[in-house]
Amino acid sequence: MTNMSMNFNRTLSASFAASAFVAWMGVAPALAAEAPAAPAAAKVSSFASSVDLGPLFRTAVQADGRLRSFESHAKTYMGYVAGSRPLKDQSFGFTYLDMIFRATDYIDRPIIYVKNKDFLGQLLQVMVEVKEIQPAEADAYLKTRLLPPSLFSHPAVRSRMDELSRDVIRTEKPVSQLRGALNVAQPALLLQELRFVAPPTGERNDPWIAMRDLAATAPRDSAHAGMARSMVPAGLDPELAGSISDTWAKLGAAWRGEDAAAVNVQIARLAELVRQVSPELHPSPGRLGLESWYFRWYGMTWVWLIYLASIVPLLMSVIYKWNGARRVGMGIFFLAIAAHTASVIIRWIVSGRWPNTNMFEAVTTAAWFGSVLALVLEFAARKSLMRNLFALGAAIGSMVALMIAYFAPTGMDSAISNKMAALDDVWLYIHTNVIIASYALIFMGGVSALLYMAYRWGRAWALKAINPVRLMILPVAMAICGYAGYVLLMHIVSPTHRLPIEKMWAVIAVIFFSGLVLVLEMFSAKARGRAGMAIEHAAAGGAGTLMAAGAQRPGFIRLAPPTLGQVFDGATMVLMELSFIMLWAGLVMGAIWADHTWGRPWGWDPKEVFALNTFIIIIALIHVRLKVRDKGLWTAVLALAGCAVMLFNWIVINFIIVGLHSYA
Amino acid sequence: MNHAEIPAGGAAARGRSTGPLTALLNLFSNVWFGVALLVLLFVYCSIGSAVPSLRENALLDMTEFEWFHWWPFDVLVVLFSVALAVVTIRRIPLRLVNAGVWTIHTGIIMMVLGSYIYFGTKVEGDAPVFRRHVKIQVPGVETPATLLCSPGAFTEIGNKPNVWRFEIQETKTDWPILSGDDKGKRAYSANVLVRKPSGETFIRQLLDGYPQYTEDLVFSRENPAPQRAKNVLGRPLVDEELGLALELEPQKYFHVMQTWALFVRRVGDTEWHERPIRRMPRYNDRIRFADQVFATHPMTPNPIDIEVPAAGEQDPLRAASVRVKGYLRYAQLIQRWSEGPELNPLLQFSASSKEGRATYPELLAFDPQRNHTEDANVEFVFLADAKQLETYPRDARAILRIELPTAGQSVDVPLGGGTIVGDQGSFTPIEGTDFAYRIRQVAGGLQFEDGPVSIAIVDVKTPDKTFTRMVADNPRRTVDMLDAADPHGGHGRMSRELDPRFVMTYRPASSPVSFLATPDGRLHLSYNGDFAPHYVREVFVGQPTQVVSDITLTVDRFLMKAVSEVKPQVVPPAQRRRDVAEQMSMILLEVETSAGAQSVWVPFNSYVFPNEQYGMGTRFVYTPVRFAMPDGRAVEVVFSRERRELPDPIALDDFHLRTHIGGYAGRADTILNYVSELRFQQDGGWSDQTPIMVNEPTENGGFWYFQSMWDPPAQGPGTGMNFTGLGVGNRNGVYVQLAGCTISVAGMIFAFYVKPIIRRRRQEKSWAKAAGRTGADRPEEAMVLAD
Repeated sequence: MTNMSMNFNRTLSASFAASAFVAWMGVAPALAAEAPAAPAAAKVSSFASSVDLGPLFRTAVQADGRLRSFESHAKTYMGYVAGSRPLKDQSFGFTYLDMIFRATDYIDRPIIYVKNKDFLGQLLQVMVEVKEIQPAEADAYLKTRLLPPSLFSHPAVRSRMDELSRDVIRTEKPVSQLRGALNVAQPALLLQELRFVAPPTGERNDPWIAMRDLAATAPRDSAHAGMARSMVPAGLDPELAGSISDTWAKLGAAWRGEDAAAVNVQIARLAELVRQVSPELHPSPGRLGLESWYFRWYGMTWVWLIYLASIVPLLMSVIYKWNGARRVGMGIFFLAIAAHTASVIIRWIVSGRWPNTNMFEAVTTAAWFGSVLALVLEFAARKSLMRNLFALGAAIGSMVALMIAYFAPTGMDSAISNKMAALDDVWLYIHTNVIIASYALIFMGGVSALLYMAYRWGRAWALKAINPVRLMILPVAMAICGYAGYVLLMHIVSPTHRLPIEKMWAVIAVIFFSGLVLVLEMFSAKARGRAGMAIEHAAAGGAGTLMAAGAQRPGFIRLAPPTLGQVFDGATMVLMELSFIMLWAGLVMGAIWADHTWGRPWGWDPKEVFALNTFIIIIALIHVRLKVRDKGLWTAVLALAGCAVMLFNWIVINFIIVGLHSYA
Repeated sequence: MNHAEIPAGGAAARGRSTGPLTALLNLFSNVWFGVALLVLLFVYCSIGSAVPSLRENALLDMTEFEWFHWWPFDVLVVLFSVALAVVTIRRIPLRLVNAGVWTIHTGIIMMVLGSYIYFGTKVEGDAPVFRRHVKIQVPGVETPATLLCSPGAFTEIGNKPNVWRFEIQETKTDWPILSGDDKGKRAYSANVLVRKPSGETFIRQLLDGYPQYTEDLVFSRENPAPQRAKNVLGRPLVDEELGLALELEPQKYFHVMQTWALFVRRVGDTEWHERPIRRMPRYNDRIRFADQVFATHPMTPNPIDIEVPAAGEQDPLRAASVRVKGYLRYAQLIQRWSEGPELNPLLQFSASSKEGRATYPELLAFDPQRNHTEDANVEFVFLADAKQLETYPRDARAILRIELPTAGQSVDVPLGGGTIVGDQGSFTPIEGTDFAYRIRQVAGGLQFEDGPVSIAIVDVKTPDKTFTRMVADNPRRTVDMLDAADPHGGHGRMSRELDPRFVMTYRPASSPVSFLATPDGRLHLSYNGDFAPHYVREVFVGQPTQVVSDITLTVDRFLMKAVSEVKPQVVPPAQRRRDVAEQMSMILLEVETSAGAQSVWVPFNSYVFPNEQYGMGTRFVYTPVRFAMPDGRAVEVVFSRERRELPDPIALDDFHLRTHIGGYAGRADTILNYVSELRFQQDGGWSDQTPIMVNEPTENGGFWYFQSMWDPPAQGPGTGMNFTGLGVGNRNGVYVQLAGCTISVAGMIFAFYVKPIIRRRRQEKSWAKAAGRTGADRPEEAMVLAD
């Protein structure tokens, strides 16, 4: 390795590390606000920590057309009330039962999560005006977004909610979510939705029996001796119904008395009793236990940490071509894929269908596809210099995807729901999976394109051919232009992100000038000439690079070893070509599905239009590459543009411009 | 795909003659031209999809579909396809290595052609298909009538006073068969409430597929719940001559998506005449004057004037000029009060207590039905003379006045705890006569067609008989009971022909709170209740008045000369639901005949139905608007969408759900699929059942039927499910599209993964040849190859 390239390598790794650190510092505080508490928090109350809900974790509850483990059920319902984080010091299951048995304790406890900050601000303002709370308290509530239910019962607050519910664009949804939370927080509803007891008929389509119906039967104790027991649900053995009802009553009494030992006895007994009714309808305890474990451990989204650990050695192996780093990096990457695969399989087993039905599943499964495809590409490229690069791209992609799922559980709920009828189709399965896999590849292509740009920039920096101050303009202009572009985009597409007109013009001006600077700097022939690297791209480009690499050539032909820039460019093309085919095939399969489901293959739905737009960018990339001189730079620019359009499709279109494909 | 295959087109072209055609061909052969078209397509698609406000503005006013079928888009696609064809033929030599590029480009051109066939001939719409109707054969009426099976739907047959009334009381999808060979099976059932001209009422239960099990349920005095006629009368049917039977309900039409049409017919006719409305706005409100509507946001007048030409000779409005003069995207017709020329006192007020705030509907002093609140706690009275304020209230107690014209006597009985004695109490004699009375009870708030009624039930004893009179505050509702023993009565035992020896009037107790309007335009509140001493004080609009300790009333509006106005209220944009689409839209229709012009707002109906039954108890709206014609007959008009005939009439034999575990629980995520069992009317009969469900459509006569909407049970399982919604559409050219897409995918695989192998083999061959030629280490040659 020459001094020059070592210099560059140092510069590149330093700049990469610095930018990663800066990005992390920028993102981490924002995300940390939503970070879940560790499962075993230090301050757990002694009663909560002594209660053993283990037997219930292996007990089924029927709700929303599914059979869930109790913990999974509790997580779903507590999610409606307090958001996707467990309440302080309590598991979801404990909170669910506690809200039933000690309902009054929760009236003034901050348990109602209000997601929308602007909406919450408006309600808090009313609460301050009517002197329900002090301004300082309002600030605190705005920070935690958790409020006690009692605050919402004031007539002024209720009438403000009515008013806000009429604004269907901005505040109707938050109001309905809040009303839903207040409704679910009622013990009667929690009891109604707690269906442990299977229908005695053994019929799959018959509803399960709610604990509210069983709890209403009088317990067989001395206090209730002689009382009529007329409430036993039809078909259920009265003896058994009585035992379940007794156990429930005793559980409640022990719970209220904070007698953990007695609670544990009754929980074990309840779990045993409910299994006696139509046992053939209950899933196996193992499967339910697995489900509870999965949800107690955040849907295994912590796997992002393993991906993170693989990134540094993989990056080192790409830049320095160290075999040691490659072995370590690939080893950790394998481990991450194994854990990621396990999470996908667990979810598959628990939900009884391939996990690609909601946003959480689409994102995590897409990331998994990316990682698996990266493994295949790594195998194909094992003898080329591109090796490790696909793993690196996939590791970054999967890490980002799982981090979002881990740190923003309210935006991307991991609860398992049933598929809509329209989604139950084999073509749809193939279509969505091929599309999300191609999106993962586009993201990986974006990573290698970014590395290519960083390489070009680092090379110019190392050669000192351009004034370093001037060279700094490029990333700064890119950051400013990118952020301003995002703000403008949100202004255009989202009614809740509207800017005042003068601000909008200011943002447009910022985009124009920063974009101008960016273009001038990026494509300045003089600057490139000074950097001494006007053209640097993979000779055959794309898959051809991989296939030509293994060609048998006579010993006298010594090909010049490719530069790192050529390697990055080649990898980008490999990924772009593959995603080009997969995206197109996915679109075609989507059209086939839509044609026989809705009667038209193409409906100009925003989601499909932006998938087509992403495809158009890749077509442009392939053809522009034919014509331009600086193929590497243009390929990188368009690959990044394709990645941006894909992310726009996934984030902005999904969350803001709702279309037919809004489920994923 | 490698740049090496494409010769430097510009340089080659420059060498040749440059006529206009060559120049054009050169332009189309230029890759940059193609890339520029791609960029334009990208921008066009992005704007159309992500910035709906742009295509929906008043100038364009386009749906997504219209935007993507607008000529600029077509031009872009055609230019791109031509460029693709020209560049392929002129610049890409047809060789094995280029087979991939050729295939991709050919595939894409095929797909574009297929799309032109597809979208050029596309007809897409929807149709509701109901499950059953009841065929009604009334004795003495020749033509049978039909009644749609939808709970709440009713029809009346015959001329007054011989009117039969039929109403669907209930439908069930899973009525168990309890006897016979099919015991244990379940069938669709409909309960029809029948009222005979005599007033006799019973329920006829019809079971689909089991006419032999048809039976009637009757009401009796002893038991308010209906009982089987078999058990009460000894026979299954009350009226053997009345024929009711369930039949399939055929649907002959579907309505085309995103179109507008006007349907007209003479009132009484059965067939509609369709007039398509073209060039109508969709997203933007169009009015001529701001005061044509009620709106809380500023509305700029921007009128339209669209002629709606006659459909044919049969069109009853063919001689009239029919024009659309206004359009509202999201509005509802409401009634409001404003100041008018004539005295008509109106009051709107709200009440607040610790529990919250309640708003009451307006009170009209001159309308006996609306001059008090429903709970009768507040009344609104106009006093012709302000001096009456001092004497108001009159006696607040309820009074029963008994007049005996023959004896020339009258008695005022104040109704209170002592005078109401129940049906076991003793009679009070009327002095100087042989008559005696007993007040059993008083009741208020009884609902009648002409408003709520209060009554006093009085037993009267005369030397010859004892009978009961129900004395109503509205004298028209006072009746005599022919059987004094049973105050609840039975069918045909009440009489409005009152015993002339007695004239009784009943004045219920006055409300505790009275608002009193006086001719000088002032308003007073009089309290006359039990929780505070009586007072009268003046009240003002907007100022809360504490009535008793924790109840405060606020007058929100007080008009002395109120006049009612009905106009569309335009919903502010922030309150418009996206999924409502055009459901809340309406047009201002002007119909000009020789007798003059009439302008009426006509609300949008998704479908034009044969009659009003289809809007009863269903989720559909049926609101025809009538116009008077110079010949005295009326014409009715429905504003809807264009309608097409289906290849064959279609009927819904059965509809059921497939559910997730635990069955349907009122939420969509508990449903696995929706199944409509359809039948097509062919060759004079009905075809076998054809099931369709989401993801499994069926085809008939070139049209495909898709499951798209359903009738959810409103009260839990066993109700609802009375219709299905079908998407209907053709799909010409879809196989050309598909073939194009498939071969382009194959081409991509060839270009990216097969071609490099071919090139590699060729390279290896040439290397082998070079090695054989030189047999030496030639680094300079290596550099050439590497480049």
